[in-house]
This record gives sequence, C-alpha cells and structure tokens, in this order.
Amino acid sequence: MKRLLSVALGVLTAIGGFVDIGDLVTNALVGARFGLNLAWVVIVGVIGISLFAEMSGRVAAISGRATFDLIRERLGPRVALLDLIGSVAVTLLTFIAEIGGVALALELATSVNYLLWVPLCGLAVWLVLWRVKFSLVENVFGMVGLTLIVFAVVVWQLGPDWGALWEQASRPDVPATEGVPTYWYYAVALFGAAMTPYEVFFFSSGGVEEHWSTKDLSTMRLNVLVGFPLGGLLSLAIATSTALILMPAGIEVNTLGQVALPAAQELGKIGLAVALIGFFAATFGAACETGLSVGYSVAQYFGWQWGKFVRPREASLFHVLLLLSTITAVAVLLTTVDPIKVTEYSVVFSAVALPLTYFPILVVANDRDYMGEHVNGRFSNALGQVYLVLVTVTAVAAIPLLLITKAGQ
Amino acid sequence: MTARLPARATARLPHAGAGVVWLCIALVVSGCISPARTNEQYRAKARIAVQQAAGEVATAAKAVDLQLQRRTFSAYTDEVVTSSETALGGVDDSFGSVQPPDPSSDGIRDAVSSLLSDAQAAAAHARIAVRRGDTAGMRAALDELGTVAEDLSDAEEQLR
Repeated sequence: MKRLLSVALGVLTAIGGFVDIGDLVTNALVGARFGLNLAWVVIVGVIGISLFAEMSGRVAAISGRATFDLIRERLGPRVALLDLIGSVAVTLLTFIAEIGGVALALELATSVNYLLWVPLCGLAVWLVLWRVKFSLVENVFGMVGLTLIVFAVVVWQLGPDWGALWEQASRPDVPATEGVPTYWYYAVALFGAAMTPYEVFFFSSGGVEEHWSTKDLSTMRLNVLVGFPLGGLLSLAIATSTALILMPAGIEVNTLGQVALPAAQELGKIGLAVALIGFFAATFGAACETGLSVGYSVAQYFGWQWGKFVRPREASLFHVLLLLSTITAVAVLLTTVDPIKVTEYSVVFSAVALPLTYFPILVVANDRDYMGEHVNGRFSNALGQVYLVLVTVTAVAAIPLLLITKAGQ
Repeated sequence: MTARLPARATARLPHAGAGVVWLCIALVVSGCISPARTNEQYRAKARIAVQQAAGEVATAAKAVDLQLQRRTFSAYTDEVVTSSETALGGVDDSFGSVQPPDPSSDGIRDAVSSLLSDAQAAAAHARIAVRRGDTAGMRAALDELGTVAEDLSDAEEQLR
C-alpha cells in the first residue's frame, strides 16, 4: 500500500510538475493564434521528453552517476564543456523566465508591480534551494501544480464540438491569418517548451540524489510514461481553452494575465484563483528545478560535491553557484526586461540546445560499459535516433525562423 | 570506461563563443523594427499595428466585461487592463517610429496613429474605472472599447 501511494505521488507530481512558464505561455499563445493546428507538436514533444527522461533516469539508476559526470567522461572534457555552456545558458535563461513568472503570478493576485516581487521571489527560491528538502520541493509544488487541471475543467465546461476539435488537431493546417514560417516558428517553440533540457538534468540528478537502483526502474518508468503524457494533456488543455475563448475574440497572448482569462470566464473567481495558484506553483516549482539544474550541471562537470542530500557546508561551491544564479536571474529581471519575452526566447533557444542535451544521453544509454544489460533496446534506439534527427533539424531551423518571422510576429 | 569520441566530435562542433555571439545577434536583430521602403511595406506595418491593437482592446474589453459580471478580482482586472494599455503604448511607439516612405503614406500614418491614440484612451478610461470600482465608468469604458474595436476592424479591412 505504501509503495502504491509512493508511485501515485510520483505520477501526480510528474503531472503537476510538467508544466512550467514556457509551457503555460507557449501553449496559450499557440492556442489563441493557431487553434489546435499545432497540437501534434505537443504530442511529438511529450513522446520525446518521455523517451529521453526514461533513458536518463535509467542511466542514473544503473550507473548511479548523473548526466554531466558521464557526458564529460564519455565524450571528453572539450565536447562536454561546449555541451555544458549551451545547456547551462539555456537553463539559466529558463530560470530567469521562471522567477519572472512567479513574480507575474503574484502581480496578478495582488496588483503589486512584479518588479517589487522579483527580489522577494529570488530570495524565496534561494531559501528553498538552500534549506528545504528535495522531496518536499518536488512533491509540494508538483501537487499544487495539479491545480492547472482547472483548464481541462474550463474546456469540459465549455462543451465544445469535440469532433471539430479532433478534426483540427488531426488534420493540421496553417490558419489563413498566419504565414507558413510563423507556423513553423511556433512549432519549434512548442517543441522546445515540451523538451526543455533542464527537465532531463533535474530528473536524472534527482535519481542520483535519491539513490535509485534497478529496483526503482519500474517506478521511474511509471512516473515518466504516465506522468509526463498526462502533464502534456494539461498543456493541450491550456491551448484548447485559449483556442475556444481567446481566438474567436481576436485576443493574442502576450501576458500571463491573458492566459487566465478562460478560467475567469467559465469558472468565475474560484476558477481564476485556482488558475493563479497553479501559475504560482508551476513557476515556483520550475524555478527551483531550473536553479538546481544549473548547479547540478556545472558541479557534475567539474566534479564538485553537489546535491540537496549533503549539507550546504559539504557542497559549498554548488550552493555558491545556486546563489550566484539566483542573483543573476534577479538582476536580469530588474533591468525591466519583459519576463514573457524572456520565456518566448528561452523556449526557442531550448530548441537550439536540444542536440547538446539529447545526443550524449543517447550515446551513454547505448554504452554497455555503463549500462550492462540495461542498455537501450532496439525500439528505444530506433526512436532515439529518429528524435536525434528531429532535434537536430529543429535546432538548425530555430534561429533562421526567429529572424525571418521576427520572433513570431 | 574511457572517452572515445572527443577528437572527431570537437572538430565538427563550432566554437562555443561563436554560438553565443550568433544567439546574441539573433536576439537583437529579431527585436529590431525594420524600415518601410515602399507604401506597400508601410501599409503592411500599419495593418500589423492595427491587428496588435485590436487584440489588446479585445483583452481589455473581455477583462472589464468579466469584472462587471463579478467573475474576476479587481486586482486581476486592473493588471490585465493596465498591461493592455501599456502594450497599446508600445504598439503606438513602434508604429510611430517607422518613417512613412512617401507623402501618399502620410494619410495612413495619421489615420492609424489616431486610432491607436483612441485605443489607448479607451484602455486608460477602463483602467481608471476599474481602479475606482466605478461600475458606470466601466460600462462606459466597455462601450468605448467596443467602438474602438469596430474602428480597428474597419481599418484592418481597408489596409488589406
């Protein structure tokens, strides 16, 4: 019974923890502009993140070592350094966006300017990273993040023409009001949001911190293969709600406040309050995850002591890095840069960095020296290689599309 | 467990610094406002400005409408309407900074600038009414936003 509860908790936190500021904003924006014509990208992205999260979790469980530790050993310090720079830059950008998202959620609830909230949010995130137990961070914010189910309730309450929605999702087309490059730009952004690299670093490092072994493999797979797809459904619910309510009204999503409008319209003040709580939990949880991912990646590459399971005194460089990352994020946000713009760029640059993250994981998961009998099977390998091609094409296309469409305008 | 790929892999991968510079250039260039060299390009920019303004006006109207139905908190409505007002200011500034390429474009500039000013004024009236909790003011602002929305829709059609 205890094990069942533990599995259920893991799956629920995986669902609630799946959505972050990138998913919130990108799905809402895409739903309001393209309806469900880009829903297929979310599905492709969720399959991809599940595939590689399972691989990295398996690597952590079998080798007992984290991603960047193995990347450096397996690919050599120079290639790993390039990988580290790209991945950390994107994760830091995402960290900035998440802290901005927390501040924006608080602004919506209180009407106090988000810039006043930014230093407090940075302090709160740092205190949580420093003092609070890893499992508590993961479970509390994952569970509260489940309140984003409110968007699924909104869709159900609207009683849409399910056949028409299915038709739009299954036979995607470029809307007459949008250009083909813009369609593909947002496809790249949505794919980057779904496959954000930090999710894999956080997941595998968490596995090492919690001392996963072969007996944890089934639980890990359940979390990934059930939790992530259900988290993806939350993303689709957000896109569907904006497609049904904001698109007909001609509203494009440029702020977090607009994302919550469907909840207010259909469910009133309670729905709005639940949505705002969901925004806060999703962004705060993701801020902790991205902050830790920056620390994990750098510390693992340089071979420093790292993790939440050792005292801060014993992992001093790791904690200094967390502090510096938080200060950097707060400083960038205090320049008054728009957190939503940071989010939009972070998902596109995530797409650029995808091969840097997923190629090494595929290499290590295929190496019998590390994995023994738990090396990738034929199916995982074939799918992994298909996705490697896909992430490479996405990475190559991202910057030209950014320039051609002037960031999706 | 030894490293196997480094030499070949590093040879094929671009220098990290170059990648960072590329990304910075992309970031800056994607945020720039390009000039309009012909009347046609200027019309296209005007149409985009009108579309963006219409979206912000619709947002403010939706938020005020929900507030009147008591389906939102005033703090939230205030934030949504204020954001729309700020965004409208940004649209006006961006469009206003584009040089009309020839005298025939001046008419488009005047008409669109006037519409954008009306939209900003309507959003400002809505924000003032929401902050005061003034129900009559919100209804008046909602009507004003509706009128501006229709004008923007007409302008968008004419600019096609």
